[in-house]
Amino acid sequence: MKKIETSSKISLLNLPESTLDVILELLSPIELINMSKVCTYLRGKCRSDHLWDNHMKHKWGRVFGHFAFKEWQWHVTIITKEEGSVLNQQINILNGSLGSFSGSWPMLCVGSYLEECHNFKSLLLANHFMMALYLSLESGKFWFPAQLYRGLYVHDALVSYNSITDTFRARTRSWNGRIVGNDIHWDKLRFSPVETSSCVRHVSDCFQELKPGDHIEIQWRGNTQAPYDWWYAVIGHLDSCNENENYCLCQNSETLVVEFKQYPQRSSMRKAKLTRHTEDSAGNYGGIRKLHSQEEIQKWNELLDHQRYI
Amino acid sequence: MAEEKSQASSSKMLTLKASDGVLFEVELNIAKEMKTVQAYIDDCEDIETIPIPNVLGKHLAIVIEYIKKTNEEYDAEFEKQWNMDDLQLLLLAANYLNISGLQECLCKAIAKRIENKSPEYVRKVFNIENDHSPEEEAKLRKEYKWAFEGVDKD
Repeated sequence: MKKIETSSKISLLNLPESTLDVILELLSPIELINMSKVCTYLRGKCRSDHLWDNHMKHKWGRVFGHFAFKEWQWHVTIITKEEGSVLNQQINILNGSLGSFSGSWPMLCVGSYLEECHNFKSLLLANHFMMALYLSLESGKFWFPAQLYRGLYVHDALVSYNSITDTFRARTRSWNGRIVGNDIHWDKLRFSPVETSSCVRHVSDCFQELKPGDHIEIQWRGNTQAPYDWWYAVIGHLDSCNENENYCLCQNSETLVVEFKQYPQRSSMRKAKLTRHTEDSAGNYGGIRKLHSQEEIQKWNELLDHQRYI
Repeated sequence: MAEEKSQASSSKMLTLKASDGVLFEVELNIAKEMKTVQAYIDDCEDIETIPIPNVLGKHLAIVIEYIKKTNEEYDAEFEKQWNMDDLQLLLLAANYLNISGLQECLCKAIAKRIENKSPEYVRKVFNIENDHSPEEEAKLRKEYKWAFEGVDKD
């Protein structure tokens, strides 16, 4: 190490790089942006993916998931392609970038939407992906896919953040993009656990193994023109079963009983009987996702306690 | 925990010699908190005076005091006494001597002093030259304001 003279002034840049990294990791996003204006060396350091990845995880981890990230990658590809290329034509008149599509006409879903995408071009061309992503979320310009809690079901939506109120706006993912919520708080959102959009029936991989007591989420829609929502339910016993654990053969039956606990026992809405192996795409019920995480199950039970009919 | 480091069963003393020749007699277990010194001792067991060529006497004194007194309360007050130049020199010393607790404390202190400050302030206080061209400078000034519209500017 160089000997430091008493008379020369010490600069932050004299610190070893690893030490400087520790300091930078302690800074907030705004401070990182300010620091990046100080000199060219710090500009490079303060825009590094590593630093912004930390902030992404810290602030956005609960609501921005793997499938939303795939949408982001799609926009990155479109924006960084050369002007005039086929992909570049995805950018519409209002300078936004449309994400992926799913479903089939007229039941089409948009995966995401990035407003004023030109804002991010220079950052993306310089490979500062995480910083661009963080800013796109913070500024509300990125309408990303997430799920909205509504009572005992979740609704697939595209959400955009408002940094002034620290809440979100939501639009339906169907092509009309109608606003379906304003001033939505963080705890009403979660990231999409499956790639399936609300316009498409989910392909269930758990039908065979479902047995009474399993916690699930099941798609349901009011009619074939409406998008699916995901409802929480529990697998129940057949009427013929005496619910004795040792003698229950419900798992082997072709009939699957899906029980919605928010309805009273005698209500006709309480149980739905579905056929295990038929994918009836014209009906109101869609695919099933088995819940494995205690956290998810607990959250639903808490919501149930709030909403239980007496 | 608030403990003065008590004398170990071997009450061996060591001398540390700062870059400006100032000598410090410290107990072995204090010196061992500096991993660089520990490595020195491991290499040559009989050594009595260890040279610390990169650290001034005034800063070595502060470092030794820190090791003796460190606890949550002390750490919180510690960083307030020093100006920015000293903070940076102390951090260099802590880095060279490899004292992780002190490094962490000083990094947090420096990060705290950058909180909500403008690039101009940071340049002045950390002695950094602005090597952006005027065009780059103008561009940077406007950049990303739209992303944080709800936040106070300093």
